[in-house]
Amino acid sequence: MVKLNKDKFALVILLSLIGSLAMAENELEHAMDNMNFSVKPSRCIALHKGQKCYQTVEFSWRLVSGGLYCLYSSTSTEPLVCWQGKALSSFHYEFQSAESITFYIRNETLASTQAKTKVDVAWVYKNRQKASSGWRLF
Amino acid sequence: MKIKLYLFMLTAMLVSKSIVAADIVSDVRAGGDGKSSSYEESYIELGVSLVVANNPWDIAAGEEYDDHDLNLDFDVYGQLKKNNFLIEVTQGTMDGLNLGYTFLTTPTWQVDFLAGSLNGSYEIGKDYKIDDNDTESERNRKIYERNRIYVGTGLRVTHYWGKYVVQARILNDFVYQSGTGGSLRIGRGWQYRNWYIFGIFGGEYRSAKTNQMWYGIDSDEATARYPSYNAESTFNFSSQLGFIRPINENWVLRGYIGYSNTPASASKSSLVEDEDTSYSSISVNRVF
Repeated sequence: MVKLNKDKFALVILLSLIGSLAMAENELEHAMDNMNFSVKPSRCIALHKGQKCYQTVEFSWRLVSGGLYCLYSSTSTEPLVCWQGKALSSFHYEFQSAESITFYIRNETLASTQAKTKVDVAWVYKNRQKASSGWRLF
Repeated sequence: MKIKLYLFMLTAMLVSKSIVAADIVSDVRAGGDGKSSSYEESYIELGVSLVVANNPWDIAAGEEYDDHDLNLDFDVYGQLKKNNFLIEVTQGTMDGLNLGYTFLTTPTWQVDFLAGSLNGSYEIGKDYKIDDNDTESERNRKIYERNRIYVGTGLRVTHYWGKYVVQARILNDFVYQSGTGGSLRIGRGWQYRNWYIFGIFGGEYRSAKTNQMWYGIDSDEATARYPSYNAESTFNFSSQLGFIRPINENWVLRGYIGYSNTPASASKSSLVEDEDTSYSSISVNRVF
């Protein structure tokens, strides 16, 4: 009977976990590739950093299997919209944010994230930096 | 439509004739977020604008700017801030060129020393000196086109009061001895989706010396068309309403309309017609 000491046992467990995670990630990427989850436009332009940017965006995706799906933003635990199977393949959304936001589709049946995309917020006047306060002399 | 390009100072002179105000426009442009503009660093904007202006200058004698005409103009905005030194160029709105130093900045206050706040026009080498051999029309042209420039030195205090920006300036021209000027302005910005709308209202004081530089006619240069005139000190009001909208990360659309009354003392000068200044502009600018 093969006996493993504690260090070797821990190493085997760690390698197994890494392998599982890598496989899970590959599966997720594969699922994401299959879904073609995208948003247009993917960029919202505000005048200054810190100002809220407004943009009507359209998410689109392609689903290959059934189940209950929901679209989420990374800023809220409440879904933006949920649907069954292939009932929905696009969604219009009024984006309002001063920062970039990630959106993701979650398969509620499998309790797993299926695809992610992002709306970036950019600014025209970019060099807005916090200045130190107080009196200054030459 | 006539296509003309003007240097910023020339346009500032013809459109606004103002020695006061400053980057309050860029302050309120931020949508009234109640923060000091010193948070911004440097940028420059170049663009073209369509301008309709009605200014009180005696247009019959001048050929640079036709009353009520639609003109294609050249737009320059910008500011350079480095180690608290500042250079600001505000074209077509309320200011010319500012060179200065910011020596106090808090989240709600900013105090700048303006070493040079330039407004007007100056053409080096052009002969504006009237001599006895000049014909009447040459005299008229020289009076109308003479260099008029105000180089103010003084303080500018800006207070960020909630969504409002209040700005006061007090300046004196030590270079050309063109007197004292001052202004008090209040501005506010609003954001509606990606439209940034601003409004500015203010009052402006000019000393008799300053007005003499702009509107005065000395007795030894007077003509039948431009008789001798000694200007008095004036106080006038001005207002401006404008917007700016990002087109993309590098381009913006700007627009504004403005009005300022011509004080009675100034309108008595034969260089000035008895009417107020109004202007409107829409421009597309590239931000660098």
